[in-house]
Amino acid sequence: MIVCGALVVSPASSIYTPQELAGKLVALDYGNGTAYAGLLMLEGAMPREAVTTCAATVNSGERLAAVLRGDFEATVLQEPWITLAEKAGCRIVSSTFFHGTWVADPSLDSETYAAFLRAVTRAVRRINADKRRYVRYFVRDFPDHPGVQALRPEDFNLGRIQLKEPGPIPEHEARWAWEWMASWGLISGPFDASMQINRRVEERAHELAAATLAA
Amino acid sequence: MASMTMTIERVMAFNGLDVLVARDEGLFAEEGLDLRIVTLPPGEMRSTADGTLTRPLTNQGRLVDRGDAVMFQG
Repeated sequence: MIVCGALVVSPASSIYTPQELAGKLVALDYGNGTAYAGLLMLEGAMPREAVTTCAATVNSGERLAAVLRGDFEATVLQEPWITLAEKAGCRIVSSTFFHGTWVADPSLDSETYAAFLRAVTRAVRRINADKRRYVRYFVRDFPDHPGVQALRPEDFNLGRIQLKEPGPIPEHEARWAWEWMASWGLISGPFDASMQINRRVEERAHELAAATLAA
Repeated sequence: MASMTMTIERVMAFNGLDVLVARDEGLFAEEGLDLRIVTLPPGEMRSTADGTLTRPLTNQGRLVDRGDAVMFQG
């Protein structure tokens, strides 16, 4: 699954570009992929020392409400909150995409993972054939939020909903991510691919999955 | 009849639409996989608002760490 993250400001904000967020408070749910996507977007627009963030709830609806109240200048949202923010008049000043990466316990075997990959691959094909049919899942996740429940399938920008058939993790991308996180002090030590990726299990699982899917 | 079982941490549509559709449309079952999705009890959830950039308080991976799931999406 490819995740879309968007830097969002309130309708009343004077901010129109990510560069204008230099020195402005941006709320991030530290420890989650969306927060790191936010850091990447900010870092791409300004010197690192100008990036100003604070810890915020993982609840995207609460972060959106806080932006609308003016508690902070911006936050990073995912769907369906990006769509809801736009309906509320908020502006997207930057957006990006990133892979959701599966992290597995060493006990996971290739055969079980291959079965998982085959099912997910078939689901990706079904969704990509008719994304609009499946956007209801984004609404279903938040049954108690009236704003989300009021969203209609046609409200969603399907370009923000991207799915890719699963594949092995490219080592260079894993290395870049590790080194970038280390540069922020989020992790320490040198990157060691053999410690991060069990290639034996991963490659065998993808071989098994591909063989069946091709049959 | 499923011959394999796999337990993963909760996903939502934004990061796991493919998994949720595969589950709901029986694609895991067709593969002989009994996929179970588990969630931390509300009382055990930590707030990311109490963390810091370099010492975040995330809930991702906690069920894997204690052996109640084998995979999570990071």
